[in-house]
Amino acid sequence: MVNKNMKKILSGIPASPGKAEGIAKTVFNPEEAINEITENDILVTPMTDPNFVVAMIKAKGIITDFGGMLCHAALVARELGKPCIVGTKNATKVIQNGQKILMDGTKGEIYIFEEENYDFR
Amino acid sequence: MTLGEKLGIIENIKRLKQKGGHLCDFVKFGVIKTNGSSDEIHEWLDSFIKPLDEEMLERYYHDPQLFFDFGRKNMEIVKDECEALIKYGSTIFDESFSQEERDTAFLMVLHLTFTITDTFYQHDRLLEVFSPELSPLGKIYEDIREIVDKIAKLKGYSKEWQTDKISLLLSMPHHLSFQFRLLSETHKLLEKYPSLKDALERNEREKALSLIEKNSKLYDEIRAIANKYYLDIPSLIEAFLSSKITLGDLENIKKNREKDAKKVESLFHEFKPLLDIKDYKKLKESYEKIKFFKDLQEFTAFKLASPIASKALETIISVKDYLKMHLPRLIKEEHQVEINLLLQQYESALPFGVFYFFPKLRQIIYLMLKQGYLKDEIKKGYDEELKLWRREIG
Repeated sequence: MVNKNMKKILSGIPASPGKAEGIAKTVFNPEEAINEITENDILVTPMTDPNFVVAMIKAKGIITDFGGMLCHAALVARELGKPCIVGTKNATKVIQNGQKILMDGTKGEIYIFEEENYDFR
Repeated sequence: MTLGEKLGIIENIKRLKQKGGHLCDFVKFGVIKTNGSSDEIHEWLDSFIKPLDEEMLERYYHDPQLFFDFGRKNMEIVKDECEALIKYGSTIFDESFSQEERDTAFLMVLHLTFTITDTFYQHDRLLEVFSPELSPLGKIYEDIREIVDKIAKLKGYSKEWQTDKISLLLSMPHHLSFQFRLLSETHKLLEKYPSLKDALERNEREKALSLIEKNSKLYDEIRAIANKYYLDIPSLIEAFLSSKITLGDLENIKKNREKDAKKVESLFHEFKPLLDIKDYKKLKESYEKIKFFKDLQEFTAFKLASPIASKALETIISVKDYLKMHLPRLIKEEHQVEINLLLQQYESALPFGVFYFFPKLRQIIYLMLKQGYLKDEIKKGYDEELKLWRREIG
């Protein structure tokens, strides 16, 4: 649930509905994704391909910089029943690795927990 | 003899000609606006794509299978272009070739890089663009949106309800993903052949391929699956090995999809009495049409993740070292500072993946090959090579 301690930092195209709260993991290739993503993480990456799917199965949600309603990430996320936001333009730059975030795949919005005082670029 | 003839590339050119491939001419058509990317990326990724004319737009809209075939053919062309690029790339750092030949190879890799991305974007951009005036997908999306909008107005449903239902329809739960269908069939087949299953579980590609070769029944069965998904047997094995998705994962995915399929069915059930026959039929047809775009999107992603595409990408990345090493010899003096700066930007974007470094690379290629940044004496072999290509494929 979004509450007053949360701040919206980014929005994109809502590609697969649902909310997820977890640790953002920013990765740039499938190997990194497979090795680093765990069940509590939200996968943040420029774009996915079929080699990312194992990591997508593990992740709580998926956020990408590029793509639209019918991009690979959107299709697979819907197939997996996980929230997904695509086309954020710069999620991999704005969201910091390890940051606790909430994503709303229905509205296409991404929030951070304000009390943690992260330093945003 | 040109470098291409020496490397046996003439065969690649002939194959490309048969498939309708062509070398890019660096003609700009304007930027396709979408929400997905920044302007600079649009400028250098897809402003060279010729938009679909009205006739093709209508044909693909009415028969999306044709659009799927068009995209699949483009990916076959991309594969052949990648092969030619890798052949040229193999000579760039090979000192047994003359400096002139290595310059030619370097410039051909650049030209092919631009060509390959344009060929790919010919269909890929249209998979992302939802504007009805530009893409068949846009027209289909608009049909769905209009009908769902009618229902929302009639019943007083919210905008959120509308978005949710459109998203559900676009997800096509009756049509399981290309990758999951392929893996599911392969897993089922492996249950019948434990030695092959064992080899694949141990990541033994060569052994798996030799087992398939030796057993004609297995060969026929696995070839049938590969054919169905427009792959050859080694690519199917590669797709299987790189996916690492278990049968258990696939079962869970299927269950998820079945739940959503039921939601779509009840949606159609709810809509039927509220719509006239024409609209109801259109909605059902549009829903079915989406599956071709869904399959093409995944098929394209598969082909791009294939070993040959990865090898071509490695070659493309490695040419920057050649440019760096020879920049003063290749580039006109007045443009060296600018190219050097772009090269630095390109290098700093490399760790972030293709979407970040390709625009910069395309900008460099455009300036060198189209805008005359190259020294005149460097282009000799390249011009000859282009003549050879153009004579064959135009």
